[in-house]
Amino acid sequence: MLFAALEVPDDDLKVLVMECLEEMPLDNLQAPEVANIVSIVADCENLSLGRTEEILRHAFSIMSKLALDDGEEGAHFRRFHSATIHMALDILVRNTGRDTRSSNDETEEKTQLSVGCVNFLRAASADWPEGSELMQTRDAVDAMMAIMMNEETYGLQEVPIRIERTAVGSSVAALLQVLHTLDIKGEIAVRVLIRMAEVLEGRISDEEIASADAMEIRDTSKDTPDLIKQRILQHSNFVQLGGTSDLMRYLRENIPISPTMYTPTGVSARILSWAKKQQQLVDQQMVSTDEKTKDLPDIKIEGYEFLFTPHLHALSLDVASQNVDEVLRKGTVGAPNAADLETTSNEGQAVGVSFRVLLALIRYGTEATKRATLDALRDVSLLRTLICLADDVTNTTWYPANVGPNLLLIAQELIKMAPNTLKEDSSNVMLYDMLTVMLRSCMQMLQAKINKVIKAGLSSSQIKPMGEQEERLLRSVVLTYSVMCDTITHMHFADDTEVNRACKELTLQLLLSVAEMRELIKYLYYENLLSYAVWTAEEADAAMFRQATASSLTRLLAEHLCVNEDTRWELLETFARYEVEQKLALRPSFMQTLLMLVQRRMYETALEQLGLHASAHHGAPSPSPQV
Amino acid sequence: MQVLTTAPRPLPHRYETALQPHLTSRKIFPEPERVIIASWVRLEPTKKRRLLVVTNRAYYMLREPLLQRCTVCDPHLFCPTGPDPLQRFAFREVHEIALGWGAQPGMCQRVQILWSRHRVTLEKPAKALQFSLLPLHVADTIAKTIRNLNPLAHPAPMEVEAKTMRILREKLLEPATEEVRLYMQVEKLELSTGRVLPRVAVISSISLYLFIEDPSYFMCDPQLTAAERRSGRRDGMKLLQEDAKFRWSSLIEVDFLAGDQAVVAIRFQHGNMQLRFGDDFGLTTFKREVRRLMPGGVDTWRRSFGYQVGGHAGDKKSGASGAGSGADEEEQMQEDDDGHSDADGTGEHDDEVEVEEVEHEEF
Repeated sequence: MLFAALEVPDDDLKVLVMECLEEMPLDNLQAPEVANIVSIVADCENLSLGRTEEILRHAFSIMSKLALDDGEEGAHFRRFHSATIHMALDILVRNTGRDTRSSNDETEEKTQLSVGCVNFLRAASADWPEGSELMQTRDAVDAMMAIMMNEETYGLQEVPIRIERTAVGSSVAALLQVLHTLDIKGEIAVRVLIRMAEVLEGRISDEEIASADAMEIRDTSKDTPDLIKQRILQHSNFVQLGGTSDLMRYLRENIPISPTMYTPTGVSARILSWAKKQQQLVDQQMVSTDEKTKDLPDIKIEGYEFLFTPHLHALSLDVASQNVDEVLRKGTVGAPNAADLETTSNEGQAVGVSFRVLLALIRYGTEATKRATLDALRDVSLLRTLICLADDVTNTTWYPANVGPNLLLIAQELIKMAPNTLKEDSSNVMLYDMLTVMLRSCMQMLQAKINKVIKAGLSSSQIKPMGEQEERLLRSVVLTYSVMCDTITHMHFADDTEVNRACKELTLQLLLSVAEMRELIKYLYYENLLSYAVWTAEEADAAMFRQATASSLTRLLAEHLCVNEDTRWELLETFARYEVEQKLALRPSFMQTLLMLVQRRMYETALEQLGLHASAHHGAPSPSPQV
Repeated sequence: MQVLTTAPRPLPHRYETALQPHLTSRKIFPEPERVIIASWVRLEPTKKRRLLVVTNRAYYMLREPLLQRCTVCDPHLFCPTGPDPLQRFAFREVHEIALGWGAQPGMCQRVQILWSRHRVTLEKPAKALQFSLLPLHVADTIAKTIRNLNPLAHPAPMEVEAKTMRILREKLLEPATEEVRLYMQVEKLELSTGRVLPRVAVISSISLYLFIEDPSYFMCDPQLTAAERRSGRRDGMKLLQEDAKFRWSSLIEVDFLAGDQAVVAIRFQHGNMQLRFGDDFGLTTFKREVRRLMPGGVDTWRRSFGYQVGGHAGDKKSGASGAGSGADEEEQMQEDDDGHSDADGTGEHDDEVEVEEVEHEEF
């Protein structure tokens, strides 16, 4: 009887009937009745006629229930009505293509229908293999492209039509294809990039998507084998399609970047050239039969005479370029004001999310896909593009939307040495050269804030710590320096041992200079000050974060002190200088811990010369009885 | 003055030149290895000190040389001889790694590695390599490195053991309501005798506990019911034995001593103690957890170094007490001085306690 009432040419009656059908249990729907509902959708030609949108919305609502139903009716629907997928996509294309901006009521009805369609497609994406397959056909991808273009032209920002959250948008190939047709300044490009990151991270459920934090590594151990397979497949597809370079090309085409900024400073070229020259000299010396003479080595104990010179203890004496006040002044003059910070635009968000996509590729793929991504990124011009983009969208403040920290996380993966390798290739110094320019820029921005807190601490006034994003940026800077320092230690510049060591020291002096380490050391005073000063229960997590950063920084300093013998005393002198001149001090036990870490690193380095492998096999006694 | 440094070298023999790459390619020469982490550890339960070295190829156990170490040269010069290698372990032989519980992530100080060169059966169980060390972030780094370098497709599982937490729950004053914030191996300095005793410090929401640990019961299940006790299996409850406990409500003073060692002196109404940590990170973590329990600040919080910081001006509860509040504390301390507090207010107790050298100064 209800279906007979649908034949009456009265829209109000039809809407009432559809409302009744929506409330009806699915068990009561027979196969012909389901076919009748499907025919309502199939036969619809003019969407704007009368209350057609409402009728269709109710029809899609019923079909969503059927798509998710575990019973006989649901199975029947999924078996015989897979064409509804294309119908829904077709209606969605037509509906989003209507320009209803002149009428609020029409806009409201149009939005309701679009949301109903997307809900049906999402329901069909959940547990309907045939439906999912149909949504990954070329027609479906073309439909998604058309829907997004229509939305960009006529859509409402307040009610986004999230077609990308359906099975159509669960393929990175489709998303990459769609991305190139979208304007980077619009919100849809950002949404597509976010979806790409979600797919690569393996986030399926709405809860996971809502609680996504790109800075935290997702726990993938609880994923089912199917989900893992799906995720890995997407990673493979992305790599095979050249997604990394494709994504970078999209960003480069749409965001103009400076042709000169963040180019290598030439330091790396100088280092490599010097290493080559020194090695040549050693080689010539080795094959030559002439006697060679050499100056006597310097008998002064390096560093000690510097430690006990009067200028260290003379408070008023200003030593050019060695006084930490110089660094302070530089930091305050050039640093941007806190008021300059602004929230990022859509372009900025697109860049931020692109970094998230790259991070997902590195973190959640296989070893092969990770290596392929890193190989694609290990290119000087590409890395420069990344840095320039991050600089451009954040106005050199780096931290908004975690753009800087995300980029530095990628950089760490780029320069990190595989644990099972013995040496690092020296050509990577070119990458370090550019990264240090970025790191200096980050530190210059953060320096002003650290100085402000220390100054407030000295004058016993109100202390305000840095924000969460700034703290994250600083942690990333420290960790990047740390990885860089560790890698330089194992870098192979030349075959000759002495030349190699000299090259490492030179690299450290030029890329991780003492002046930069001095700037970083200030963070230790900042953290120490805050850990004893203002405290509330809510600050516990922030305090833990700061402590972890200080711990990472201590390890970086230990590595630097261990590797670079030439600047060891100069760096240690910084602590004494702060204590004498500015009455700033750290716990003596902290200094002891730092020195202990340095000793440990030296010990570890010395152990490498011990020939553990040979002695364990040939010279060692039988295994210890307690093991 | 000029000196001769390089003598004329004979031209390398052709045969030798050809032989070297051949031998290298055949892996006849042992390859050089990169040391990723090395640390002196305490083997358990034997308490022997061993050097554990993880390289990019394998991990090794070494012991101190029999000859007495040179006191002039730095340790890394290995004068007169370096540590003696005892055993080489392959990464692929690791079956399971258990990290000691620390109530917080990254607070592991004990690791148990189960390894075997053969297929593990009931007759041939995996052998256990168990060690602990006081500095933080070393034991877990060793464990993670060993796991990451495992070449197998499915490397050995690595989990934080949960038995210690269950055992500890049974030992708490109010297990239903008490929240454990920290579980850390420390050293207790006995002021009267100058002895250094290994202990476990536990910070809960209401109390500070010190436990004596018997590491031979690590990873043993606690026998809680009568039936379980009758089973004759080793009782994990013996892992911890209570040594002292103090309620935070009776706290009088926390003093960070200005010395090279990470030592904190704590005074309660009914006793006091000095605890030494593996490194400054341990002290900082302990301080942070104590501070978390007292969000309003510690009135008797003392530190004898650094600049004077008052936090909120004029707010006595806001944490760090500077010189101004320090004077009041001194008066208070002198009133109930029990002989351990410092009268000069510098906070340097180092002269009072003659403690053993720090174990990790071996490097």
